[in-house]
Amino acid sequence: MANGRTARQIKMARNEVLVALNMLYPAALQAEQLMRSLLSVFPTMEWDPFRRDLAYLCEKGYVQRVVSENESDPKFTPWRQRWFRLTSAGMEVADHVIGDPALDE
Amino acid sequence: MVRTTTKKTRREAPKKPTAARKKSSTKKSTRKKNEAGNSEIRIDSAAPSLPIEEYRQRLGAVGRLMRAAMADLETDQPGGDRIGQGAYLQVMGRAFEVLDGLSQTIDVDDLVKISKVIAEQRRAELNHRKLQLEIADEKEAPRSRAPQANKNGRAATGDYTLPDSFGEVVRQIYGTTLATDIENPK
Repeated sequence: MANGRTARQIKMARNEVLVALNMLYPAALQAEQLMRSLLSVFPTMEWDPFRRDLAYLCEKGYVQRVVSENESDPKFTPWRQRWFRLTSAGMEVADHVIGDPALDE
Repeated sequence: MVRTTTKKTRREAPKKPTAARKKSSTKKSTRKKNEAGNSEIRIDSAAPSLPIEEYRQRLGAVGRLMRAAMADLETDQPGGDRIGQGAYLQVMGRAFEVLDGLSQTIDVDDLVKISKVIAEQRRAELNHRKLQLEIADEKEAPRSRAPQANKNGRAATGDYTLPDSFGEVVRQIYGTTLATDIENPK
């Protein structure tokens, strides 16, 4: 259990983030758009755990932030308005080409 | 008496239909979430969930449509030359929202925003190209070229040697000096 979520729920949510970005690859999505889309599958999803998952996937190298030139200072762009896209490693995990025990259901 | 009244009110309260109560509370929490962006509020917990397979199929269709329509617009890798990327992201984001059913229409504010972004980027792109051309011209021009005066009469920047004496400087500026040309008058 982490923040009221079971390991299975965490894995499912993280997997769906990867799958959603994989479906739209090479496009990037704003964090808020991604979460609103995922709410149709996980109606009880909350912003904070979602943001943690996104940060985790970024640190793992599966998702990367895209900074557009409209962002005057990327550090101060709110998380909801930040753009994210899948990396090549993330695509491999989403396509089950390579396995990750932390994400396998 | 007082106790009875209290009990009655407590008993009467749950008579309100459960579904209606849930519906109203859900609406409130959703509004708070959208306006204030408060992350601690649970969102729309009463909404029916979509099966994952169905969701993936829908996203797959959205992705195919977006790639077919706008994949050519993506020219640069993230982290590279970012000219034009902001407009691309805005358009793709709005297209995703409409195709995925997150919003039904594109309102005027969005169009204004996208237009401004595109105009800004067009301007940035033109400035960028202009700068690149100037840099290329600087590289191609010979370094030892003579300084030329521009329209304002000021000397252009460049490498040139100073005259030997102050008198020569005065002569170049005024055409003559007050010093006599005859060195040893007798």
